[in-house]
Parts: sequence; C-alpha cells; structure tokens
Amino acid sequence: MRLEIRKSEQENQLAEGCRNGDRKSQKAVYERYSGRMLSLCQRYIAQQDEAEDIMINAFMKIFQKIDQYKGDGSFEGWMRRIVVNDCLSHLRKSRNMYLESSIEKLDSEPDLQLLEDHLEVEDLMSLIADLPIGYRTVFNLYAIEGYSHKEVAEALNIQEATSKSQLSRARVLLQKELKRLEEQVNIKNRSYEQQ
Amino acid sequence: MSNNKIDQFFSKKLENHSATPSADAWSRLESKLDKKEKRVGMIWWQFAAAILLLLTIGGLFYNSMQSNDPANMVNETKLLAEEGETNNNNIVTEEEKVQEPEEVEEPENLIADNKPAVSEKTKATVTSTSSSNLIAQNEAKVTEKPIDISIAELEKVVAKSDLEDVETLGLVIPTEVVKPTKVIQVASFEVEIYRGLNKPEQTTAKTTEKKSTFKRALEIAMDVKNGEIALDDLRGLKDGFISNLDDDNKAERNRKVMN
Repeated sequence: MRLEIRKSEQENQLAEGCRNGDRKSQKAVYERYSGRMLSLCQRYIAQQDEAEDIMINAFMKIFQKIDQYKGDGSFEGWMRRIVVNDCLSHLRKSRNMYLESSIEKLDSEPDLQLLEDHLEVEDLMSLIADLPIGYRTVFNLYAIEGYSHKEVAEALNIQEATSKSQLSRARVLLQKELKRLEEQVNIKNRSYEQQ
Repeated sequence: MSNNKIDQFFSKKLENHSATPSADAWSRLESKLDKKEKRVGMIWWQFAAAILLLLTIGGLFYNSMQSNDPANMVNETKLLAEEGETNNNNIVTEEEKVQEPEEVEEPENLIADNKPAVSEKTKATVTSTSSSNLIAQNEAKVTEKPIDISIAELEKVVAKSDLEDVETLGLVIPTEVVKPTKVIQVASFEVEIYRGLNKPEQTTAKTTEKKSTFKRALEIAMDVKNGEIALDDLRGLKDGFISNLDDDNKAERNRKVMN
C-alpha cells in the first residue's frame, strides 16, 4: 500500500515535469514506461519495427497532450489509453479486419496450470501475434486492457455483437494453440522422465 | 476484468510485461521532440509577424479612412492640440495625411482635397492659444514640410501648365509662412494663407482671379487681426474660396478625363 502511494507521487512529479516541458522528466517517463508501452504495441501490431514506431509517436503525443492529464487516475493508465488509441488508428488502415470464419469448438480445454509454469511471456506474445487482426484487437482490448464490449465497439467503430463474436473466436483459436503447446510440454516432460 | 480463464491466463502474464525498445528509440523520440519545439517556435514567429503586418496594414487603412472623413480629422487634430503636445510622430502622420489626398487623382478626392486645409486650420487655431515658444517650435516643424511639398508640387504643376502666375504666387507666399514669428502672430489665419497655397496649384484657368481672392483674404485677415472686422467675414470669404476651388478642381479633372 505504501509502495502504491509512493509510486503515484513519483508519477505526479514526472507528469508535472513533463507539463513544464522538462526534457529530463520526459526522459524519465520514457525510461520508466517505454518497455511496457512497447509490449502493449506489440500485442496489437505484429511487426516489431512498426510497433516501435507507434510507441515513439505515442510518446510524442503523450508529451504534447500532457496538459490534458489532470492528475485524477493513474498517469500510466492515461498513457496506456493514448498508446492503445494510436495502435487502433494504425490498425484501422488494414481492411477486412473482422473475419467471420467458422471455428469448431474444442473437445477439451487446455491445462492452464501446467502451461503457466512452462510458457514464457514471449510464447504468449507470439500466440497473440499469430491471431488474425480483428480477433487480436478485440481480445487485447477486452481481455487485457479491460474494455467492455461497448467500449470496444466504440473504439473500433463496430457493433457490440461483432466485438463479442470476434472475442469468442479469438478465445477458441488461443485455446487450440494452447492445447497444441500443452501437448509439446507433455512430450518434453515424458522424454525428461524417461531420461 | 474478464472472468474467462483464457482471458485471465493471458492478462496475468501480459498486462505488465515490458519489452525492450531498440537502443536508438529515445534519440529518435528526442529528435522528434526537438523538431516539434522548433516548429512551434517558428509558428509563433510567423504568427507574430502576421499580426504585425495586419496591424500595419490596418493602421494605414485606418489613417487613410480618417483623412477621408472630415469630422474625424477635425476631432483628432483638436484632441492632439488640446493635449498641448505636438510631438514629431504626430506631425509626421499629419503630413502624410496632408500629402495623401493630393497624390490620388480619383474623382472621389474632390471632397478629400479640402481636408488638409481643415486640419491645418484647427491645429493653428488651437496652438495659437498655447505658449508662444511652443507654437514657434511646433509651427516651424508643421509648416516647413507642407510648404516644401506645395512648392515642389507647384513646380510640377507649373511645368505642366506653363503658367508663370502660379509660380510667383506659390513661391512668394511660403516664405512668409515659414517665418515662425509671423506664424505665432497670425496663427489663426496663417492657415488661410496655407490653404491658398495648396489649392491654386492644381488649377490653371482661374489663377488670376484666385490671386485676387487670395489677396483679399489676406487683407481681411489683417483686418481681423487688428480687430477691425469680425472673423465671420473672413470665414465667409474662406467658404466662397473653397467652393471656388472645388469648382476649379472639378473642371480640371473633367478636362483631364476628356483628354
């Protein structure tokens, strides 16, 4: 709890510095948050260099719009919104975003407990990166950023129903991939036991 | 936060995940920030320059509007004189006003042509009530330039019209006006002299008649000065003189148009 308070105090100080156009504060903000913001961009945009360009431009916007951050709510949350919006406006350029292909349901669910111990963050990132754009975007917004379907629909200018169907398809695809990974883990484990 | 197991599985691991930007990412961002700052600075300079330009144009336009509006002109000069200070800047602008209507040769200027004389009159009248030193100084400044102009223009007109009368008339009287002492003493009708100077230069046909009108005006002015007759007589004469001038100007312009 004490740690949280100190963190928000630091955030406010940095935000104040940025508001005054102080380059040191800007660099401090960049150094503190660029990694997380880049990771966020990479979840939406598969190409690494594109994701980084968007992250840099988003920081430009953050420093320019810093006056709009009034200090209510977390500074990081405010920045994330800007970065997410930049990713979305980049994605909007791609057409046929929302596939409606039929995906068969799985017979059994993957063992998430087992996978959590064996999968690295990078594995999960690549699973998300392999999703079709529409699925990926809705899944990111809903499951990770915590948007409601209404907010997703507004952000992407789609129907709420589309958001829901894209999300469920995304989940099914991810489950399939997780199941495949689970099998790999099991094979690996068995060979390890045999040795 | 979603209750779905898959959602939670991913969000738990990914929400606060941090990737490593490439080494030059900050310097790219920084150069963008520098460029932006520079551009914002440039925009401010351009903005300031534009405002300055607008103000200048607006000021010039306003000035010319004012010199086209007799009422404003009189009010302004009165105000200036009441303040008791005729600084150099004011003189300069008023000289501009005096000059402007002369240079333009459009029909609308038939009316505007009379403005300089009006302004000079008010100025002279008011200044005659101030301290004599100040008047001597100010009047010297004020009258010097306009007379130069009128001589210069007289010469122009003379060259154009080949009328020697105008030349003599133009060259004799300014020398009287330039004398500061004279200005102080006859400040109130010095203007009439000045008007007489400014106007006949444009006319060619009635110069002799004008000369006599002018001389009459001078005589009456002296009488007024000595308190022998009322100022009203001089005013009546002046008005007649102006209307004469207007007619002359019209005739002149009509002839030009015809040619």
